[in-house]
Amino acid sequence: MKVLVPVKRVVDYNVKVRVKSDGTGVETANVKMSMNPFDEISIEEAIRLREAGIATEVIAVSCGVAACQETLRTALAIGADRAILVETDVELQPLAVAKLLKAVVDKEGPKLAIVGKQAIDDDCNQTGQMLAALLGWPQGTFANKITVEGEKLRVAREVDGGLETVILNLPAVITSDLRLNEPRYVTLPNIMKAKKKPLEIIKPDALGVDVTPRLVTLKVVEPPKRKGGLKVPDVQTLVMKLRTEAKVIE
Amino acid sequence: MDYGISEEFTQLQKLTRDFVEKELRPHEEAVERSDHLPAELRAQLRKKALEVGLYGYNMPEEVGGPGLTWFAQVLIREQLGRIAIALADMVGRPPKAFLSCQGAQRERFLMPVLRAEKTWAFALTEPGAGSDAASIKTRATRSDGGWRLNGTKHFISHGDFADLVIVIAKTADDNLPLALIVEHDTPGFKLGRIHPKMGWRGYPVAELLFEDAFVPEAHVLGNPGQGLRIGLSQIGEARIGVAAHCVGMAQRALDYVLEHVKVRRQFGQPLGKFQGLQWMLADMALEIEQSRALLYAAARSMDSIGESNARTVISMAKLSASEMLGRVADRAVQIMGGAGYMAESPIEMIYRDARAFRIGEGTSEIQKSQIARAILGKDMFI
Ligand SMILES: Cc1cc2nc3c(=O)[nH]c(=O)nc-3n(C[C@H](O)[C@H](O)[C@H](O)COP(=O)(O)OP(=O)(O)OC[C@H]3O[C@@H](n4cnc5c(N)ncnc54)[C@H](O)[C@@H]3O)c2cc1C
Repeated sequence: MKVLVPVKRVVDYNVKVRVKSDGTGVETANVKMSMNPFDEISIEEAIRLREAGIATEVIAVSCGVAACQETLRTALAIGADRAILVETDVELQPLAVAKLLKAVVDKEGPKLAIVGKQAIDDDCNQTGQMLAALLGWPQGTFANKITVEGEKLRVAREVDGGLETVILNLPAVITSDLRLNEPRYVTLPNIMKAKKKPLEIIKPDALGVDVTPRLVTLKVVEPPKRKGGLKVPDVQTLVMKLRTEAKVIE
Repeated sequence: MDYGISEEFTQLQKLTRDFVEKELRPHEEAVERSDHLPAELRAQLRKKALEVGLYGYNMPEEVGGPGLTWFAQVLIREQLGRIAIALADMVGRPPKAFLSCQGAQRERFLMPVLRAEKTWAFALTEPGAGSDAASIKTRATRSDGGWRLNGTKHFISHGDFADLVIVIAKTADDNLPLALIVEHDTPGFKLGRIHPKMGWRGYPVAELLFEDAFVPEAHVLGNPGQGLRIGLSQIGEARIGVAAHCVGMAQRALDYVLEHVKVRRQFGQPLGKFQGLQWMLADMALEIEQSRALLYAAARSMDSIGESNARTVISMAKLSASEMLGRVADRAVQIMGGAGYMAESPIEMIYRDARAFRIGEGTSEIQKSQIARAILGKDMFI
C-alpha cells in the first residue's frame, strides 16, 4: 500500500520566535526553517512500514511556498520515495490544507496518511482530523504505536490517562505523537541521493481546491512577560502561598 | 549571514552536528580526563560514523566515497571542530595517499581503510626535518624483493596503534622520495616514545623507529621519485580542513561564553552587561566570521579552479583561522575568569588544543611564505 505523509515547513524549534513589529504575524525573514518535528516522526514511521514490507511507496506532500521544496528534499533524504509540492503563496489554514491533502489522496490512492499531530508553529492540531472527516476515513490521533494487522490498523493512542488502543479499518488517517518513534539519522548517502528523487509541483487550481483563508488574523501579540518569581523560606510558607495566594491547591 | 548554503549541505551540517552531540559528546569528558580513548570505543565510534556515511566523507566516488565538493567537506569539518580532537578523528578521513594504491594494493590497503577495518598513520616529519620536509633522512635501501627502512619519524599522529603507516623516505642509492605502506607488525619497525604534549588528549602522537625494517615491493605507492608528491597530495585538504576545524572550535568557544555571560553575575549584573566584555565578544564574533568567510571562499575556489590552483587562498584560510582561534580561545578564557582556567569547562581544553593548529600542516610562517611567494613572484625567492 502507498503511504502519504504531509510535511510542513515551520520555524526551526531552536529559534526564539519573534512577533513582527506591525503585529501581523511572526517574523520568518532570515529565520531558520525546518521540517515540523512531528512530520519527521511520521516519515520515519512510514519508512519503517516500508522496511517491514507493508508499505510499498512513501509519498511526502507539502503545501505552501516554493521554499517548501527544501522540506520535501529533507523528507526524501530521510527516505521518502517521491514528493509532491502543492505550491501557493496564499496563507494556508488547516481546512485548506486538509482539502488539498484530500485532493492528493484522491489522485494518489494511498491507504494510509500519517499526519503530524500538530505543527509547532500554530499548534492547531486540526489538519489530520479534518482530513479524516473529509475523506470519511477512521482516524487514530496521537499515535504512540501502530501495528498493521491485515486490513486493520491497531493504534495505541496517547490520552490523558495513559494509552488507549483503537482498531481502525484501512484506509485510515493517523496523527503521530512524540513517542511514536525516534527518527533515524539522515545518512550522508541518502542526503546525496535525495536530489535525484522525483519532486512534482502542482497548483491548488489543478486540484480544484479553493484555498482562500476563511479566518482573519486580527493581531499577533507577544505573550505577557513573566513577572519575577518569589523566594519563600520554607515548605510551610510555600504551601500556604499556593493555597491562599495562587489558589492552586485546597 | 547568508553564505548561500544549499538545503542539501545544510542537512550534511545537521547530520554532523547531531552525530557530534549524540555519539561523541557523551565521551568527551572521560577522554579529556583520562587522556585515553579506549580501543573498543574507537572501533565502536568508527562503526557508527561508517553507518551514517560520514566515515571517509573526503573520498571520491570512484572508490565508493560520496564525492563531495570541497565546500561540503568544509561544512562537515567545521561541525567536527565542536568536539575534542581525538573524538572528531573518529569520523575518519583517510589520507589521499591511499588513492595511489594500484592493483592488489586496493584490496589489501585501500578497501579495509575505507571500511574502517584498518587505521592509518602518516609519517613524514623527522627530528631533523619538519617544515623542511624535503630534507628527510629516513633511508630505503633496495633489498631482495623490497626495501629496508632505516630512520626515525616523530610527532606521528596515532603512530602507536595504526595498522598501516604511510612512510615517506628517500631511496639510498639515488636519493629519490619514496612512499611505502608499513604494517604495524613489521619486524624492525618499533614504537619509540609517545610524546607527552600540551593538548589533544586521547590522541597519541608517537615516535617511530625503523631499524632494517623490511617492506615488500608490493607496499610501495607509485614509483621512486613520487614519494613526496604522494605524501603531500593531501596538503590542500589538510590545510583547509584545519581552517574549518578552527572555525568550528572558535564558534563553540564563543557559543559557550555567550551563555556564561548571561548567567554569571558580578557587581549586581550579568557579565554580559559590562561593556569591556561586550567589546571582546564583538571582536570574537567578527573575527570568527571573517575567517569563516575566507574559509568558504577558499573552499569554493577549490571547487571552481581546482585544489592545486587554490593553494594561496587555502594558505590564507589556514593562517587566518588558526591565528583567529588562538585569539578567540584566549579571550574566552579571560571572559570566563577562573572558570576558564579550570578544566571544568571546555574552554580550558580549547585553549590548549588550539595551539597545535598554528604548527601542524604547515606553520603560520610557512603559510605566510607561501602567500608571499604568490604575491611577489618567484624571483624574490631565488
Ligand atoms: C599535534 C601534532 C600532530 C602531528 N602529526 C603529524 C603526523 O601525523 N605526521 C607527520 O608527519 N607530522 C606530524 N606533525 C608534525 C608537524 O607536521 C610539524 O610539527 C610541522 O610541520 C612543523 O615542523 P617542526 O615541528 O619540525 O618545526 P620546525 O620546522 O623546526 O619549525 C620551528 C619554527 O621555525 C619556523 N620556520 C621553519 N622554517 C621557516 C621558514 N622557512 N621561514 C620562517 N620560519 C620558519 C616555523 O614556522 C616554526 O616557528 C604533528 C605535529 C603536531 C603538533
